[in-house]
Amino acid sequence: MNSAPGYGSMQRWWELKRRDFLKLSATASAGLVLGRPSFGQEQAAAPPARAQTNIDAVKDAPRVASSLPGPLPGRVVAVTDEHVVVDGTVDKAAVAAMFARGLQTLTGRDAQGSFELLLRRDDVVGIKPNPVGAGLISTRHEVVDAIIDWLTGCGLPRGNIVIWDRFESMLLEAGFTPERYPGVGIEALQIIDENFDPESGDTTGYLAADGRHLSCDRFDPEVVYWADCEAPQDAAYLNQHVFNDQRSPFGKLLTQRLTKIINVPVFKNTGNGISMATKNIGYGAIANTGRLHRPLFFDVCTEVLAFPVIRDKLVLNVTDGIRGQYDGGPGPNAGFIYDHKTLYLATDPFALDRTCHDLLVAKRKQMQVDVNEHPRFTEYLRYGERLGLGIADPARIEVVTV
Amino acid sequence: MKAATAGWLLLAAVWGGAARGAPADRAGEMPPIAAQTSAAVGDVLAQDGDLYFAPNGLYGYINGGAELYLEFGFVGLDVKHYRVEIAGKVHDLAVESYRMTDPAAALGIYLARKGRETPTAELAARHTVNSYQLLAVQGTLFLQVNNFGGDSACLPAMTTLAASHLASEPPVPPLGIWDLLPAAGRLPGSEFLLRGRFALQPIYTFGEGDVLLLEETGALAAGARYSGGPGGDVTRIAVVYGAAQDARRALANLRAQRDPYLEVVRADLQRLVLRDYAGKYSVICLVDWGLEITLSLAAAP
Repeated sequence: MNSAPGYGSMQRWWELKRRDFLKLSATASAGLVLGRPSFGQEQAAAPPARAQTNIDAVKDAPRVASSLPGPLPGRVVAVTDEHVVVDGTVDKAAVAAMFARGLQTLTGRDAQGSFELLLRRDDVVGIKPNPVGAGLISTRHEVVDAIIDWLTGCGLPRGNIVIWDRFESMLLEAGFTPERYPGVGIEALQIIDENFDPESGDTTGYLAADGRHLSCDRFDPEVVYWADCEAPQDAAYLNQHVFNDQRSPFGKLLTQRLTKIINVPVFKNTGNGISMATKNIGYGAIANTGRLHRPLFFDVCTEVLAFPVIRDKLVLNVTDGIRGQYDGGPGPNAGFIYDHKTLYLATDPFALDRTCHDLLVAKRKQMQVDVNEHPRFTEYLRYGERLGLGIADPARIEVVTV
Repeated sequence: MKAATAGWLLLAAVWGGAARGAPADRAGEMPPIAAQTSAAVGDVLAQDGDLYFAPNGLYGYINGGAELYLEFGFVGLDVKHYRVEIAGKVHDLAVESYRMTDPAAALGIYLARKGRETPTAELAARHTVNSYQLLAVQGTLFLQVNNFGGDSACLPAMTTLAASHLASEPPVPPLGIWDLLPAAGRLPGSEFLLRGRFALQPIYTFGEGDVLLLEETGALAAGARYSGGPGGDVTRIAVVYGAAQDARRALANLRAQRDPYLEVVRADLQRLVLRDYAGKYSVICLVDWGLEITLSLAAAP
């Protein structure tokens, strides 16, 4: 094999010897490592080498009109309505009005014009909520309703809409069910055997007779995020992550059926960083992610979005900040929930995340939560800018508040 | 503590479907929580189906946050679910009792999790409460009462449940480690404890891994923010090592393994002055009990 594993040519990538891959990709990927400043006469410790990935195989793939950052790079709209939550109850009509106002402000066009800027009537549109923390901090149904009403009102058939997430159980637990959304597709990339007991040894709940995960065929072996990170080999990991080698395939739903994606994360933190637009897709579109957290973490949020399957389809991001969580994330943590009463819209997920990161830092300071503003927690956004996926420099981001 | 009398009724304690992980064998792993909620609040109709998590099962319950508990010293987690009726409306509450290895571990978790404290006069133990959650600490017990519905009508029930779970927990004297730091200028509520890299993460980035050798040496560190005048607030940390040589090794390790964004301004065997990404200065001094650290100084000392 003469080249690093690449997008669209992954069939036999696993036959590549690891040492060959490292040799081939070391030079090209060196620029991905967080840059070390040159100040100081005494040299600091060399940063640990970052795990290799196949980003080089996709980052220069030919772009199309809809490629990130979309038609409005660096433009973020924040819509606030102080009356959207009253006594803990969200006003659905108010949310719809916020979304409509935000979209019009973002694009400078009416609902139909916005639709025509971003979508076509024959598109199959995937809406990606964040279902983690069902009911507490998961994407609110009122926001998803507003998006669906906009799409259908502009002529998109209801059957051309799919609400999707990686995990079936989370999607259902958060209320994204066929009953709640009649006529709209509800699809997960994978199942987990929630009742699996590692001590019983009974794997029939998630493994087929051939030993492969029951969800294996829902992922596309041709479109794979590869990373030189080892995965745990225990049964619990395989149950949750479908694969346990160095492959993280994209869901076939994304590679073969959806033609556009609307991303609807929630306004929350993960440690010193945020778990919003880029992370909702970065860790939601592929399998076998558990192994990636420690060695790559935020870089996954950037590199997965660089794959054409995401880069060319992700047309709108709506961060649901009706309710926010300023600490204790990414899981639900009731002690840090607050009514933020704001929706954020952007075609550029990096400008959006950069804006929301700074807002969340400000909130954390206000609430006397310890804040570490080290550049490492936003480096992945600058990395996205270097890859041409969006704008991360606050000075070049236009935030419009309405 | 006033009696739990606010007209609410505990209908049922547990529903098994709430389990997100298999309870471990609890024999001998968890010191008993002597206070039984049924005695304190009345009509508890059932107590079966409680969950228990040993250290190796904690990830199954609080995925993404378990590291901090394990780093401070975690013994076991007991989870009880309650169904509460208030004025005809049913609410689901959960009490999570984290048994920690020692009072410093319990306090360390509490300080890391509390945010801005908003206590009520109804609970004697140190705590903070809002309509979604109550956090409390006493002795080696860190307690969390969840009310995912967020209805403020549940506040009396949450407080009562917390009090009953804490009732048998012996109070402990205040931790003396903050006495190593100046009292003047300390910002109330800004105190924190450290036992490793995860607790340090939200405070400051010195470098990768256990760069201060907190985990390797079993050191305990305490810190707080201080009003810093026009240059902004500063953070002071006292790291207490068991042996002087550990402190010396930690200082040398920090100098060698420091974050790439940290520039050495001055250094000798007793003191290290660093300049960080924001142009702020840090001073790390070797003292007789360990390392005395000051972060975020506006000017080089």
